[in-house]
Amino acid sequence: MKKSFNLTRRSFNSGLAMAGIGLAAPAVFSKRAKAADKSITITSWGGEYHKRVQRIFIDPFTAETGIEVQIVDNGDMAKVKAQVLSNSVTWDVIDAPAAFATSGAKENLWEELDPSLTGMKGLLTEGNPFYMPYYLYSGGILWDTERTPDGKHPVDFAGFYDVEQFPGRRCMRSLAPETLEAALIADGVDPKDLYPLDVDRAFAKMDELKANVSKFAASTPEQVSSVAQDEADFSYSYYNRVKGAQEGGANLDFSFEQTNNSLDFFAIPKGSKNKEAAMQFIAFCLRPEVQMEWSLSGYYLPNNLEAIEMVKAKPEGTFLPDLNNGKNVVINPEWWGDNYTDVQKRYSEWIIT
Amino acid sequence: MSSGDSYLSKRAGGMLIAPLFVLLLVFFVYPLLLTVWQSVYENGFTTRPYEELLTSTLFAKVLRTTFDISFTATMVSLFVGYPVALHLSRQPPGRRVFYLMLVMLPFWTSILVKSFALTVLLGHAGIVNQILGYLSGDTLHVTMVFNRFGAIVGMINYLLPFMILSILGSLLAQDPNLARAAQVMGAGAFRIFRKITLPLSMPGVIGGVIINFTLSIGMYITPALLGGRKDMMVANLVDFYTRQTLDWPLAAAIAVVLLVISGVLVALLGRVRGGSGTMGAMA
Repeated sequence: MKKSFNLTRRSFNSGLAMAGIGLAAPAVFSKRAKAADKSITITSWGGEYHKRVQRIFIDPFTAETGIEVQIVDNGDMAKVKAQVLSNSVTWDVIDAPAAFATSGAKENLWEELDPSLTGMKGLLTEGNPFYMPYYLYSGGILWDTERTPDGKHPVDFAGFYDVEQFPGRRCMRSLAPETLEAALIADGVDPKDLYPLDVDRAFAKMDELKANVSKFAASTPEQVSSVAQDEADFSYSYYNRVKGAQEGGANLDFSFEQTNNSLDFFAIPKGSKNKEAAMQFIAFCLRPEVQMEWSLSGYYLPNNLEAIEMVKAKPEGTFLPDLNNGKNVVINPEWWGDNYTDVQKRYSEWIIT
Repeated sequence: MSSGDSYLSKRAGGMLIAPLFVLLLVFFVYPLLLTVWQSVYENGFTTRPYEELLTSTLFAKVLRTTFDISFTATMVSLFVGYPVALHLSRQPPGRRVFYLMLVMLPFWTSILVKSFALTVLLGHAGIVNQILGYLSGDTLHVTMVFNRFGAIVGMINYLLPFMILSILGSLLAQDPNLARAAQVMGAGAFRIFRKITLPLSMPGVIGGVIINFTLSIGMYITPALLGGRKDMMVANLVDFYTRQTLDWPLAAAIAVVLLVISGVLVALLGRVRGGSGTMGAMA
């Protein structure tokens, strides 16, 4: 190690860096050791979402229970599967969209949830033995208010598919869930009779629109940027994304007239070493007041019925979709759990042909 | 390649590459073998993933698109890159370093940022179209993103430096006396290029083509962001099966098929005249 005392600037710097690591290491290790039984790691989705999870779920949870919560971003299913298969699970709670939750259950990657969670009352959608629904996000039609003022843009799925009344370029999702539902609704299917989806009918309807689709968005931000950058006139997207773009100065608007509402879940990977704390965390996130905060911050539909009433009572709560107005759709995760692979393959193939 | 033995014994040479060899063995060969294993083993030996690929029209179409796009991008990169490399090789060293930095510039920005920047530049309401519209009185409008053109432009942006550096290496390695001698004997500039410069630069060209092509067939995010609906690459399919449907054997099988096809192509290219010693030019 010791070479000479002829200290150059570079060797001095690297020595300094080594010393820094040496000094910092014990701090890191001791912190970990102390927190071992009093800390959990959850996955999240970065950006604003991450910050809101921190503020609304984690900070009050830690204040109340003393359990520390670490966030890891973009914890996708492949990584969860790798952790479970290699028996080295380091994540305790996964924020799982429906496709993750159901495919994870099929692959036997989830811990069974406490009866206190699965039996929880007063929820819009009740818990499943392996994954716990905690909110719904609404997808609908987005447009540019300058290029297509009111009357010139669609507000529902039928309008999105009506190129006579609303001429313009469309941007569609490159994923099949929500997309097929919108097509079927546009073709006249009643939202309450959607499932099981008539896949052939949905594809026939999408065939009609295909020539007017200028973009299949590979990612969610593209659904918004395609309209903002004038690459498409109407797009399917999510209100919180649109809201973000509005605040950034884009002339965009979003219709709550008709929406697809998809559940988002919490699940616990099999072999989690902090199961109890993880269940505690999930239960905390489902409390009415926490649910209300979460809903207001991201324009989501809470899964807790009491929270829905609380949001409705707020002046800014007007964004809540009314699931009983006969127009809004609740996406069925179980149907997609059984059919996702086949239908998505067909949809991908349809896109490129 | 040949000069190696003159001042280094085989043994010493072996010692020098041993660390890299071990590193590749552990972090490249071993995971690669695992991937191959994963594609043939699920609770016992199986050919299920390969059978599924053989009958999948989606896979066939995407594979074809991947090779189409990769071939086009590599050729464009070659024809754009060669003149640049030639120009660079004729600059005084100081200026060449400066120009080389300009060539390397795209590497300093993330692919994602570049792709979004290109949509701003080339898009419907982009700068290029605004200028075209202004000059033509709003009659001329060219769609340059979300189609094959956009995908190729985005890929070239990434591929060009590899092509230029590879060709530049073999241009600089040429003995300038050869060209001078030809000139003395009365050969014109074009003839010198055709008979001396170009043939001698072939190792660099082939090296650049191989690198560009192999990089292209693995590309994923750029065609997805800038390409049209038909420009889906095989890497997207691997991602789909790995992350969306968790069908890892099938994802592994796709990777193996891609590896075999590109391995065969690279081996064939390497046999083309001047192909040996290609990798030397890369360094």
